[in-house]
Amino acid sequence: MLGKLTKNAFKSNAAGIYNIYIAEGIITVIMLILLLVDWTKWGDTGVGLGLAIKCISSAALCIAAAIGIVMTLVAVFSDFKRSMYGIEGHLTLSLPVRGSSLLFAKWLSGAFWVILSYLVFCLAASGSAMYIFRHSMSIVEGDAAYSSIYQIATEMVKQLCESAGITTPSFKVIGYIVTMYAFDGGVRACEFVLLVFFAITLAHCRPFEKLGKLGAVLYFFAGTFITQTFASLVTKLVKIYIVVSDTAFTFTLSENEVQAAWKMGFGAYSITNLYCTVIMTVVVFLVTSFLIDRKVNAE
Amino acid sequence: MAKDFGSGTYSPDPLENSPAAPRGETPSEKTAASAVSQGDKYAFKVRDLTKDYDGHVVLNNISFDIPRGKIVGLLGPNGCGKSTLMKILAGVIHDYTGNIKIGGRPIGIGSKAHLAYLPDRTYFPERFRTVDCINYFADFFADFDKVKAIEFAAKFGLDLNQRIKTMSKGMQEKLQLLMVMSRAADIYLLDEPLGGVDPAARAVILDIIMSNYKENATVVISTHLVNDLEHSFDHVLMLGHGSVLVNTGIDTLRSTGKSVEEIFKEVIGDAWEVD
Repeated sequence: MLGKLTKNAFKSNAAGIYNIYIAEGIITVIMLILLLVDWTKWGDTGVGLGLAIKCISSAALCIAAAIGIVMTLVAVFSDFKRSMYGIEGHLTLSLPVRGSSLLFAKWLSGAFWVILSYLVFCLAASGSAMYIFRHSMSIVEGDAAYSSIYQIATEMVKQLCESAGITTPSFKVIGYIVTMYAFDGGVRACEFVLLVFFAITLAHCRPFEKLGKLGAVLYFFAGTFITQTFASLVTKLVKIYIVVSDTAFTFTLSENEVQAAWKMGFGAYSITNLYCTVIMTVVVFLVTSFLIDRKVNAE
Repeated sequence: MAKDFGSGTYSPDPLENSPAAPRGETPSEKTAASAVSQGDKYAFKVRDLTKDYDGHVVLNNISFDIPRGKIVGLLGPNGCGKSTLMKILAGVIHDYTGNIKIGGRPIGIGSKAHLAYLPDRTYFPERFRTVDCINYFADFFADFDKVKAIEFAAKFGLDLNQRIKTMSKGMQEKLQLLMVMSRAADIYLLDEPLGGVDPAARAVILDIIMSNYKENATVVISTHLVNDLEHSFDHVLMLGHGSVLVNTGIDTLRSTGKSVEEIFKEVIGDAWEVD
């Protein structure tokens, strides 16, 4: 049943947002076609015109990707509300499945689309930058443009590491750190989606339903405040770090070990907050599942 | 309050509280009855059910039993709680007090698997096509007969690829009813299936219901069109004032020498006066 619920949830979300991805795809194709045009044939005017068109198309892609994030959020949350507690909820809530299964399917799908929209935005923004960069630099330096971008990116990561106290990290360690940050971001995106689902659910339970949509907004902020406060308090009390070297992941509570790890070029990452986020996400999931099974009212 | 029948449940025949076996049921059939029906001769047992909307009490501490295997008319004026009662039984509303057993089980996955619910509005997503509705039901209801649903769709001129948002209200209602009646459920909850359709369509819808529910199933039909349906009912449950005004077999009602519609007008008329 969970698989079928998930399949339907993915389809339902996709139906609300596929237009923006088609638009982004069309813009990308146009941009790629523009790459094939030799603007120098028309002299300086042509080069200027080409650059202007590329800048406009790049900006359009970034704007479309940004709109994609907003549209995805709107689509995911409105779909959750409509399919769970609107008239479609009369079908959803009368299915012979547990509330936790319904929630998990919606959550998995919602988090996937939200994370995808962020990734697409990042890809569009960095891709657009490279696109314009290549154009301007290709006139001057040709293929050297890409090696310049690589050098700049490497330098940026090194500076970031040094600012965090990590000296001369290896590429492997940088890879691990980037992966950890990506995982952290993914977890927080999942928590965000679940907190909104929780707020919408609570807004359909008595006595919380009186405030309507405004209530859902308030419950979201209240839920965020509680989870953040819990994470902050625990982080003050306990600091758990994960030290990432070329060969191993090590957990430690010692600040001295962290300092030493940084000096050796290893990554050291505080995971207390992440750990608390995971715990609170599980709690919010269980509470929301309980509300769906026992307390909610479809409209 | 109803002058002739008093304020409580109308059960002049004391045997009404111990319902007879369902239509045409033999002891062996009883043994072979489905999971939701086994071990309980009642389709529904409702005790002390209370539900209010912002302090306005719709169902006020009502208790009743519905024998299984009956076609039950759920009657009452607008706002008397018919739809609310159905939503509660279907598991769509949880905010109530009281104790409910459906086929001996509390409301939950077990009861939902054997209960087919038709709300008074279209509950399929607008983007769905007819075929999507069929696949959706096939995915989630083990008792759904996909072949029967496809045959139904063809019989009633529903294009499998037509989207719900392009269908007329009548077509949407027909599609939804076909989906529900393609299930071999133990209990059917049909909320105003005849509401909002013309008299010709009513006959079609009524025919779909009466010729397609599973044998020995309990069919609860809420309606205010008593005249169209009264010949189909085995049992009548009338709500008003937030209370059960009548809960009895059709034979008992007819023994009064009045039609269901006349009794409905008499009982509900009093209810309206108060409301």
